[in-house]
Amino acid sequence: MISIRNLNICYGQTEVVPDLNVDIARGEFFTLLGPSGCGKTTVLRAIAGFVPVTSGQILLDGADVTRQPAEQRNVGIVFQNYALFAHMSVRENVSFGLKVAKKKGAEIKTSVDRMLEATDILEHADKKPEALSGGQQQRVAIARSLVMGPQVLLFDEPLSNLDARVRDDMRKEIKRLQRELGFTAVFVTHDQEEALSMSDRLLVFNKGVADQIGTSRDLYSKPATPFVCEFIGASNKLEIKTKAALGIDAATLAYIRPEEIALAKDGEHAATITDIDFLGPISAIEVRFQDELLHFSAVGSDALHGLALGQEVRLNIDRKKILCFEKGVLVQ
Amino acid sequence: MTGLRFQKGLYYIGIALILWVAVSFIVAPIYSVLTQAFVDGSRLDFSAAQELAASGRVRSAIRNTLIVSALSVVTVNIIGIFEVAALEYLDIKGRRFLKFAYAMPLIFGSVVAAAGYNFTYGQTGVVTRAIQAIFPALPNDWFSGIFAIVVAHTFLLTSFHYLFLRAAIRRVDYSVIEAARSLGASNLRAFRSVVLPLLLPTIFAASLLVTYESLGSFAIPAVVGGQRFDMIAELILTLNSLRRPDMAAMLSVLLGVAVILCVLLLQRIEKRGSYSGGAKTPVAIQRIKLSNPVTNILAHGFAYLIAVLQLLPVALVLLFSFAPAKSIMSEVIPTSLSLRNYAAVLSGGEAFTPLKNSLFMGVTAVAMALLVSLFVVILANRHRNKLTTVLDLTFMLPWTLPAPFIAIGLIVTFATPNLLVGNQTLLGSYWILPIGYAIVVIPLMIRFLRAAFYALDPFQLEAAQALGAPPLYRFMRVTLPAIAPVIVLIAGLNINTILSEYTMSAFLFNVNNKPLSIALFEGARSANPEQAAINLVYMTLIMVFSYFIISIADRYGLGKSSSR
Repeated sequence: MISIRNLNICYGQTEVVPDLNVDIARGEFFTLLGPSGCGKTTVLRAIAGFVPVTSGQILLDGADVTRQPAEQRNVGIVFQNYALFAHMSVRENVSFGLKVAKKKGAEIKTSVDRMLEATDILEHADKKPEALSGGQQQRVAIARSLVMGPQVLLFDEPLSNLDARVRDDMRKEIKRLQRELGFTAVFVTHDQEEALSMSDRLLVFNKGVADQIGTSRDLYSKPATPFVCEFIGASNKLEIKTKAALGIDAATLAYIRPEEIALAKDGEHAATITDIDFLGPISAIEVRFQDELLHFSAVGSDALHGLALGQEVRLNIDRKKILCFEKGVLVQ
Repeated sequence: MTGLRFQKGLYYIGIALILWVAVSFIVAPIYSVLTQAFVDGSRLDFSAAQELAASGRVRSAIRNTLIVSALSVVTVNIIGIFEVAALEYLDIKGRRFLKFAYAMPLIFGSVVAAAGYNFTYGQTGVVTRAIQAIFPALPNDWFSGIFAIVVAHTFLLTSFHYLFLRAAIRRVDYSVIEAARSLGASNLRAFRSVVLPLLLPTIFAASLLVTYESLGSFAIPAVVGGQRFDMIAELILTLNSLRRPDMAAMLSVLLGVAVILCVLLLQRIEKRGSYSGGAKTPVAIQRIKLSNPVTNILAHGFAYLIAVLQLLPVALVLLFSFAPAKSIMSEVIPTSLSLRNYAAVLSGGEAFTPLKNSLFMGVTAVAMALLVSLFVVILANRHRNKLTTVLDLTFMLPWTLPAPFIAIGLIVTFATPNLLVGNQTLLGSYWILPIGYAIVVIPLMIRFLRAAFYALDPFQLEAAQALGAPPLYRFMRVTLPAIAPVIVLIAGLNINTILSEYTMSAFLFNVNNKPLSIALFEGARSANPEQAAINLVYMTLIMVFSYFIISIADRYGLGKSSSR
């Protein structure tokens, strides 16, 4: 559906994206994930046609659109700040593109009504955007793009301006619309939890370079680079003494996920509890092990029973689950 | 306790003082104008209105004013919107140069601009002589009448677009344009259906300000309009000097009504506010590259043509201010340059007097106005009651009334001994002009000061009070230091306004206090090269002062005070 070939984008002298290759399948929910300033939004805007490509190609459905102006691509985009037309009502906002395309009045009304219905904002059709909540404005922005029947819908950090609860609802809503209407979604975010929960596949950006492309589970269990490992999920970076105790070469970069560490009466390693954070269903535990700190969690409040700061405990660490990198590449 | 009682006393003396100022210099003059216009003895009388209606000269002045205003609104919008588009929407090369050129009207206004246009395009103007060297058929007075006035307005009144429309287009969230384009709209369509509607309230407001300025335009028609072309403001002065204060008053009432309509409309727009778009993180607008090479060349050409026209009079004034007098009315480019003209003005001779007068009157008027404004703002801040509301509105009145209206009011009120000022006759005295200046600048001072007071942290004052500081002490040690920078800037901006203030000056000056603007006006009409040389120095000095003040004000975000 979308093919990006040897994409290179420079802003003046700065190379933002050196060389990117990725194929996104029809109907896929694909996420570009990375910290701010990594180039993910630039790639998204290049797909939309708002950023000039220095070299390389962008293909939509096999057609080269690299030099095509934005208005001819039939690519929808939902902006971080929604970019609603403030002087138009919700209905006028959603009709805008169809009017530009010179569709007939009756046809416009039917499509717009259907889309307002699907996004659950029909009752607000005659309000101005400023009278709507953030979540509702977001729905208008989505409806406005979807009504054009785009091949691809791009999302530029669409949830970052919403409060936590609305954000969760909108996540589900976007997924539902995508499943029901079957469009290809390219989603940009810096929030890894959001990315992991929504995406079919993800691309992790590190300074303009794609460190890894894969499913959420791939990225979590087999991170291709230390950057991906640190960026996706929580992990303990093992320091020199810990590595020695676990029999890992000092030159190897090693990480362990918190869930691979467990308290056990007859555990193999000794450690001292330095902090306990009771969080309800789970608790975060910090221990001193070989003079270095490790973080992991314990499930349920029973697990905390009889634990106190400064107490000696026994741990099991699954040696086989330690993620080891040599020369920046995963070796185990 | 005696300290506190002393402060209370001071406070009441202050209240009495501003009441006196309001009654003597605002209420009484307005009352005088209205009675002059409508009352004869003790009954209503409309003979002044009838006489005005019967006079062909008055009718043509009114017609001229309306035509000039209507044309100016159209032409200023064409140039002003294009300037803003060239600076902020289109990707035109050399933006810094264009910005500099388009900012010229900020320092080149009122009588300075009138004299500058006359020096450039007038009978003996540099451009006139340059064109005549190629086309000898060009008449000397090609630049006069309605054409010259509208051209001068067109360039000079773009300052509102430069200040406000640019700010408005910068507030437009760029992602809105991208959203429109992703929905299939072209650049032009996006500008028309998304950007323009967002700018419309600002364009309308700028148009009203242009109308406001055009209706009361005085210096420009007086200098470049020619002998036989009157506009209303000029005619009011003429009627007054013909000893027909009743007709002058009636005409200024008419002008006042038109201007107040503008102001009321303007306030409605301000109240309705502009579309914020609700964007929490607006994206800065990106300038658009024109892909069609022909359109691109045309846009560049037009942008630079306007820049040259904006810069030309200013550059010629600057250049020739260093030229010997003999080259001023004969050469197109001066062959030698010196500081002789500056020496003539600044050495303290006759040529220095108007500069000295204006500086002195500017400083005293601003000092008086500041004192009154500060007290009004403090009073309104401390007590919100009917008295303070009425006082506030009274002191804002001079902003809604055209300068000729106020000037006629002062003339009529103080042409005879008046009890309000200790039975003195102020007309013809030195002080009438600085008083007029002060009245005109008070409204803007109050606006700026009020904004500065709003920005103050109320908890600081409460903290000082909790630490036992009495009111005057709190004011001197907490409030005043916090707003001191604003006060200094307001003072600078208003002295700047007064240096080139023409309307009040023309009505109220006399031999004792001839101000710079009047000297400039006389110099612009004189055929004497020595006089012209001195004029160029005056103009340069005013522009340098304006540039200095406005750059500082701009840095602190105060913008330009609107000058009449």
